[in-house]
Amino acid sequence: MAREPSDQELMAGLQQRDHQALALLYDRYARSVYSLALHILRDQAAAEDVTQEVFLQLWRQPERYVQERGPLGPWLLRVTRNRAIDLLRRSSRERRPAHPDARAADLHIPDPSPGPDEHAWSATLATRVQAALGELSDAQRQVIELAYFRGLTQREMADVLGLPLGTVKTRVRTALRRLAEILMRDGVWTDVG
Amino acid sequence: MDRRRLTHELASEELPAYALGALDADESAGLAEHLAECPLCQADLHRFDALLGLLGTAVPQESPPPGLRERVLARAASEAHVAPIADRPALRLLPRWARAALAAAAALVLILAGTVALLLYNQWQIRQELDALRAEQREMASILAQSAWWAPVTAEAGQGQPVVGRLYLQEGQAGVLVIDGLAPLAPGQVYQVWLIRPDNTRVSAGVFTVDASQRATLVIHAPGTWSAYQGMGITVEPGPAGSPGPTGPRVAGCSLADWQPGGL
Repeated sequence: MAREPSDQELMAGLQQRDHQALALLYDRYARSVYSLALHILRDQAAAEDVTQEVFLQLWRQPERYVQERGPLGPWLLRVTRNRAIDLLRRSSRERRPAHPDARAADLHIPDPSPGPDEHAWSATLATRVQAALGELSDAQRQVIELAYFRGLTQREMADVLGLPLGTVKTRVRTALRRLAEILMRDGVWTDVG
Repeated sequence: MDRRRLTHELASEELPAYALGALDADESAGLAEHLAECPLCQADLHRFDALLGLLGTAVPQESPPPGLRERVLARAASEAHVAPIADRPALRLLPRWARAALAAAAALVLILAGTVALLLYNQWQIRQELDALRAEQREMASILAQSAWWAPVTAEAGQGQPVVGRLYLQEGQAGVLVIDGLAPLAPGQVYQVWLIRPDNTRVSAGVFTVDASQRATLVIHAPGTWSAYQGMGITVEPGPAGSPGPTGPRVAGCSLADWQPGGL
């Protein structure tokens, strides 16, 4: 039985303008990309646009992905997050302070993956990341949520949360470093470092 | 801007927020300066970037609409006439002036390399400069290759010199300014780049000079993100550090409302 081609092989295919390679990469990653864009933008059409842009950019400039910096999936999600946040900030530039509800904690944390999904590359990773997030305090998760998914700066977070800027800075710093420590302890970090 | 240089310890503390894009403009610019010369922080930043990729998995999963796959593949197929990247010499991707600018930068590296041989007593310092220059070159090539938008840069009305240029913008906060036709400056003066916020306040994005070719190519890090700015201007300021706010005549600029999609 033929094995599934690796990401590396598919990326080499993109360099050779192999459409089938793009189709396979889409099948592997589109769900994660679309889900993240939708979670940030909360708009299906905008999430579709971001998903399309991410894959077309991969098709046009496959050399942008540098394997030494880590696996393809998380890299695609980083590109997705940056594009979505850019779009979010641009569209809300005039209508800030449409500040998000500071109490919202819609990181998908305690709910374990909704069942084995053979096609979701991210299911295992997501479970481990969610477990790691679960080890953070509510306050630490909150600043990650506001910064990562809502694109707020530390100063904006301080305004929204009614906290001194220094407190927010400390929370952001400790939250991300703690998350890194937990993932390193659990062996996820070495996969990406 | 007379910005206090960050110590490594302070920069290291702010790296997580920088990776998240959660720093204020000034903080972000200060950290970008430190990053340019600190391999430790660069490595740390890459790790945080990877971590932030992982974080993107922690959202409820939804299937994209079925039609999207066909649309993406059809769009890709319609672009199939583009030659394989691997078959194209990398520099052919760049416009003529960018090639010339990169060639000039490469020549500068060679000149600096020669200087290392001549000035052995100062070898360490020059090595530092070389590394910084090479890093800048790599960064510049990377930004140009990844630029998603560009904006035309034009001379201010009434200036004698025809200034033309482009500001290439990578998603996020990095860009490359390529500009041609700026007059050489009097000793002690520099050109200073300002990013203009919607409320018309200006944020310094660095200083530069031009050589006899009247050409400059420089990397710009927008404090925050590009979407926080509506334009870019260049003024003449006292060197070497420039001014906290624009004081000299504006010689060129661009409106970021004129962004064009597409990189090089």
